[in-house]
Amino acid sequence: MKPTTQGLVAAVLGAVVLRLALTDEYLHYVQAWMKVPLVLAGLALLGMGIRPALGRTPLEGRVPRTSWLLLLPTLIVFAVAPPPLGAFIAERRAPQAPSTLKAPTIRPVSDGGRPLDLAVEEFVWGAAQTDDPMSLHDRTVRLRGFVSADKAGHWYITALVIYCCAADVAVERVKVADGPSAPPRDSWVSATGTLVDGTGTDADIPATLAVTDVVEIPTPENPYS
Amino acid sequence: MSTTTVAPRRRLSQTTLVALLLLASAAGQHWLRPLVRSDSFQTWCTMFVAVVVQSTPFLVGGVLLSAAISRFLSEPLLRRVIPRNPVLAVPVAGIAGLGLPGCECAAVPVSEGLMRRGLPPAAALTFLLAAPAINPGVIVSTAVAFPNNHMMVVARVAASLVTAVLVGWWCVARGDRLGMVRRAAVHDHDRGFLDGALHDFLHAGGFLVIGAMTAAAVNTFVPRTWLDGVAGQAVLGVLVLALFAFIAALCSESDAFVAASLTAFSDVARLTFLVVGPAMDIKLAAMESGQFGTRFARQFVPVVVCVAIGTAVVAGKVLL
Repeated sequence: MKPTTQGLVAAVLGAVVLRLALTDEYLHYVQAWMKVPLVLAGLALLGMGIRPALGRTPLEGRVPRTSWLLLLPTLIVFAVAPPPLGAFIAERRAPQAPSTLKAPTIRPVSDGGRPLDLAVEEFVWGAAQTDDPMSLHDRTVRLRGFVSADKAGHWYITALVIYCCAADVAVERVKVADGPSAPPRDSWVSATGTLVDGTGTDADIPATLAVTDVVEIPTPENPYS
Repeated sequence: MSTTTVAPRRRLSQTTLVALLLLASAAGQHWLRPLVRSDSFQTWCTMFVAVVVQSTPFLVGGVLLSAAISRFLSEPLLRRVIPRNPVLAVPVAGIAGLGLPGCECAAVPVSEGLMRRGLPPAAALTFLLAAPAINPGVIVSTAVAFPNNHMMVVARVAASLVTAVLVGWWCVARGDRLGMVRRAAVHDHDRGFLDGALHDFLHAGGFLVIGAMTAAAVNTFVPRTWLDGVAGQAVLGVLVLALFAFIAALCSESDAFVAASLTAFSDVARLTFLVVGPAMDIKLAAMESGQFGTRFARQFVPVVVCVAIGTAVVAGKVLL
């Protein structure tokens, strides 16, 4: 790799990282707190690469051929623009071992007659507790998530939890009881309903929602929880 | 690969061609995107870019810290802190691993920088193994992932530290037979600070991309259900989770959450997953063979994996 190319490869990667961080597209890949480290890393790469790329500083020293691979992330971001993970990985991963969700730090309480807004993973946690600490029984809840399906033809309100980056994704999902037909796969919905008694406490019987109302909503900026 | 497209032309310089290729891919995205609508390919792309994006700040931080060590850390100072005898330097370097918050990608260039400053290679490698496994970020995330099992944190730190020190001593014993390739000649003192960092970044970055490609493929295509079949078996469970830690190449700050979700496995098997992963995985193996040579990696990688499994099993039996 020529010295000017070395500079160009680093500077372009820096520019891509900076653009991902500033356009919030980085939320497809990593958690929100990574924004500042990504901006700093992008600026540092630009700073390292730009002078050699313009031929201002003659670099010595060869780099191995593998360094060419650093162009690959840039090409993929440009040409493929990978979408956030969705139904494909959720359906592949769904039959995995039961999740170990933590108790929500704040237990949401309902407010008069309005449905209780819960995250999918909060609802799954609440349904799994035999003593029903969130008193989910007979309470109307509203969940937001995207649509995934299983081979038997049921559909699910789904959330993807990431801990560090999208490669360590975990799936949480709530089965929709027979009733409303499934919206398009991967579309985001807000579904109102109640927990079906006797579901969610056993790993073999997923938490199930008897849905009364489904509304399609726009994809949120941060697609993971 | 792009080398073939850019090598033989003479009129346009290589740099111009690369720039044109990048511009073409950016300008052509309108036509290119419909060609890549496959779900599994897009999922692989998302995971691959995710690993690269997550690692880049740590790798950039690592090469800058390494350049700072080369420039500002004087050899006499290092000599005063680290014992001259490599056998004693190894445990000191292992405990020093507590001080570098960051994951594996930062540790490779930093340990190379420490070697350049005259730290015995065995001690630098001990630091490389210890830093991603026992730094404060990892301790906190493990405690959060195992809220009712604090011994898991203790066992993880103890087993990782012992692994790092044992491998360090093995390196002392092997001496020159390790066949480590050192690139010391390239890094003379006259080079600019940023130029040295750029060189290190390009060098390690390519291998990081290889590791990210493999890890993304494993996380996309290998179904987790095949893990369940062996979960009940004591010995096989340990070996399978060790293999899983190696090929999935998760960040050491997040692997505790994945381990916590593998509830079907014994605590010893899950501890093995947590000890092997930060010490050695496919991403680190690629980066280390790039940094120190394949002959070195062929010895170092299997030794680290075996020592990590052994230490984790012993620690698990004693502490959990």
